[in-house]
Amino acid sequence: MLSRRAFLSSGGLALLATGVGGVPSFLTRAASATPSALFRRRKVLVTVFQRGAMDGLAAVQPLSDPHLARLRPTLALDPQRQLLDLDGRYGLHPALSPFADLYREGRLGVVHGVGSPVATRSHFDAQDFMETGRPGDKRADTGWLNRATGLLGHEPATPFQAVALTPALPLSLRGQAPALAVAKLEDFGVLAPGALAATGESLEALYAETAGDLLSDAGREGLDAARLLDEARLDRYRPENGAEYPRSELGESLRQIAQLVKADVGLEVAFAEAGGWDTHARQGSDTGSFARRAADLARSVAAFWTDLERFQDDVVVLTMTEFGRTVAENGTGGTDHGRASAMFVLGNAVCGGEVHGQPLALDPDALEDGRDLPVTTDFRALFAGVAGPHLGIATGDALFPGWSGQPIEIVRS
Amino acid sequence: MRRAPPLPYAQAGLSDEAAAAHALNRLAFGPRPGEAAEVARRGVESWVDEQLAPPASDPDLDRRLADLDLLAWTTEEITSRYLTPAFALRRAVAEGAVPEGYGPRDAEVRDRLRAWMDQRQIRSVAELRRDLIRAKLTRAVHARAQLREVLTDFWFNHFNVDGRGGQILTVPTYERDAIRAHVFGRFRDLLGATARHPAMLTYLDNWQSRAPSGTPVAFGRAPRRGGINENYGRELLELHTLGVDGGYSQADVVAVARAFTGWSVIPNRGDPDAMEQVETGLARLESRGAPLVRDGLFVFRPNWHDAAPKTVLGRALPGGRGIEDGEDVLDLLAAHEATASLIAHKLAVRFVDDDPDEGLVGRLADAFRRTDGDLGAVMRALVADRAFWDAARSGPDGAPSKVKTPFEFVASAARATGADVEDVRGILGPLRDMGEPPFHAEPPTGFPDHAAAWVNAGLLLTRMNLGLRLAAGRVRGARPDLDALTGGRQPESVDAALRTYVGALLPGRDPEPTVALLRPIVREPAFARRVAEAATRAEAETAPALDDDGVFAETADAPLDADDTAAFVVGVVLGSPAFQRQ
Repeated sequence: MLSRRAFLSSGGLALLATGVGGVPSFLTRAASATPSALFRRRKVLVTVFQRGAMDGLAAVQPLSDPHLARLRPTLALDPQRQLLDLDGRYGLHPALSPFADLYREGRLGVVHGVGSPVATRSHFDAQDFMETGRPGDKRADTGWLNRATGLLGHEPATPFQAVALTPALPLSLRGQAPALAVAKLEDFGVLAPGALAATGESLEALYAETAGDLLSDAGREGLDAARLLDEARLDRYRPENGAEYPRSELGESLRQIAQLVKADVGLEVAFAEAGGWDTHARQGSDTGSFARRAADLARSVAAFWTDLERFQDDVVVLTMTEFGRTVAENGTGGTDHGRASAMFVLGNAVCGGEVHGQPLALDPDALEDGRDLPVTTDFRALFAGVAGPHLGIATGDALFPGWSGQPIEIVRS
Repeated sequence: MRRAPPLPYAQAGLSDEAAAAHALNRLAFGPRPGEAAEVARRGVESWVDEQLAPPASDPDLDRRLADLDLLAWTTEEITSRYLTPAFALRRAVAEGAVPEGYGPRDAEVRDRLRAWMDQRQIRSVAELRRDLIRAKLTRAVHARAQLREVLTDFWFNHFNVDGRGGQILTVPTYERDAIRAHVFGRFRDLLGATARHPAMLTYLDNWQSRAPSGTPVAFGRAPRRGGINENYGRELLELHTLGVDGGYSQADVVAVARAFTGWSVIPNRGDPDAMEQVETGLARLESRGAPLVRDGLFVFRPNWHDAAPKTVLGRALPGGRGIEDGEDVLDLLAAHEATASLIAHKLAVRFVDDDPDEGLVGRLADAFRRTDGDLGAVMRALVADRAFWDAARSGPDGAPSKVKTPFEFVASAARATGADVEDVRGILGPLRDMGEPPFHAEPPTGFPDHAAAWVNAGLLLTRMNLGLRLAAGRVRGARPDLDALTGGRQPESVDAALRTYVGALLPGRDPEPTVALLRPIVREPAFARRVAEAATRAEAETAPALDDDGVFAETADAPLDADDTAAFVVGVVLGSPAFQRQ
């Protein structure tokens, strides 16, 4: 049998990998855990990691800082003609214009000056620290989103509780709680177990499981097909409300997350990523490489939001990036590694229409090391302020070990 | 000359053949049929000696690469003969051969563009990429000097550049002149060669980094415009030498970036007019007495170089100098304590264990320091270390400790089955699907070198399928020679075949766990079909074209048919956990 099907049933969920010839056993195990939880819709936290470090000052620029034009002679945007005024203090990059509407509707909030208390300017360390939520601890190997998943307090109803739309599981989702990496949802029916990456599997155990699934049809029996996550919905998925996703890595990932939300498969924590933010050279101003990335981000998130209109009360989107970039532009029309950046939070319960955080001051005395936006909001305060109220989880030491700060108030519980 | 003490593999409990197999797995791309026994007979030590000081000539390899003329070319020759589709189109339009207003792949102009390229003897970068990957795989599978190729792969990855799009044009000479030429030489020479190569200078943006406005420069007046780019300076410290915890500050990053201002390239996009303009500018500078330094497409531009005094890691670099600033920084970094530790750690991860013993790392770092960064001597210290040989048995259930990367898997499978590799088009797709498209690692960290990055069910299924297809002769351009595994004898039963091939493909290992694991599989005729169906359909559906020249977009070959028992059993063994380890 070669048709591709996936079943949801009151007895559990099974995605049939018909080409493979069986249901991966961990799927069936997970699916049979708590069947009733399946149909109780839960809140979903969708995170977008902008790898490479987004220039927060290009994204959300002060409208009247006296130093900016001197520090960024080719990058600074004209407050009158180019920036989209947010609150009389800050203007949004024109390529982010889809965010401006959401901001005015009060659903999108900006937090400026976010970053890590540990002043590394290494992409790789800073990404790890942000993903583990344990800045400075290089031995940390579990992700904060995995801990958030564990803190939800109920067994996963399905293997889709925590999903990354990435080829390998990101550090954010590694840890005790089950989490999946799915590169492409369309492959799921064909490739499960192939498209899956379960956590904590050794090579040998993984092989035994995969080969076992390939050998036996046992997993297929006894499943009561009640509802289809059918071929049409995967292959010929039509976004609702005329939402148009960019054909980019991020657009594709968010489209698939929207599919999972609508399919009601138990998704609660989702992870997507977008690269290309490391704009050392020829960053551009209203057009150019930053503008292209920014347009992709805003158009992807806005399409996701439009597509999910029926579910907006359940979903919050949080963007994150490992650090910001130098306040002054460098010699090659770009910016180098800095400290604080800006992050976006989108949701109906978000304290939107507001730029949160300490006001920015760009005179050299106020800058860290005389060059970078200082971190005035610990990223953990933001993440806890979003995940805590939205997912209804504790935000203390269990979410961010060793952190004793207070979450910021950005999502109404 | 004093004879080195014997390699300590017997102390690690390894027989001659097990030691030979381990050496072939780690210091080569895996054993070829019968090779472990042959090396054991000849002596593991003598094989290791030859690998550490390989003969210059390799007629068999030369013959296999003879048609790839570009491998001997300079960067200038390559950049003037190979063009990206966009540049080819621009030139063809300029010459009036193709009408304006179309993209390079638009049906309206495709044939005319191709005809123009043929007439001008211009080749596409897609061809270059394919040829370069073929050369890499051919060397991995067929070179006698195996360790040199293993180390070339290691050091390329350490000093990674991404060959995305047109950036591939500088990669052939980068691999040949900056990397391969130095893998048994001094670390300082390797470091210096990467620092000057156009591939690195463009990848990490240094080629445009110039003295900030108002700073004194090494030639001419202080510039009114300008400014540094920190990208190379930072990665030089973080990734190439000291390591992220190597004790440098942000001020050091800036000082290093300033020391390298003016280290630039002559941009060559196959556009003769633009080239001439740059040359005219440089000639004018030179005629005014500027101390230009040129080396191929590398150029040190003294009028861009920040000549103010600097302090790097506490060392004062006096003002008023030129290219010496960068060279002094490289000296300082190459001789730094932290560099020895970083390199020792990385070598230990690659050759011994994902989480290497600190004692081993310390001993390798000592060897590095003692010999002033003699990389051949460090490798000798590594194979003389008991920990290297212990790693043959330190994985789960006495298996080897390391999991092969996708490229190591492909190369070792081709070697194990005695396959001749003549074409890589059938292998590019799986390599891409497994996450290791050659010369295409985007971040400066290169590809990961630990199992966690390569172990998940999807990648495993791709490996199983590729093993089955390779053994069945269904991978385009790679013909296996299964008779070589059994000396031409046909095993009498499926069970006998399993035992025979496990022994032949995994020499020096305990065959029992693998035989027991695979026995139910080889008795299940539907297994190969299921793997093939699942993986082939998945591959066929994979989105095309990783980048603009489409070379990774090859689709899978015809589905496998599992009639041939020997091929099926060999394929199953290639896909087994034991074969994924080295």
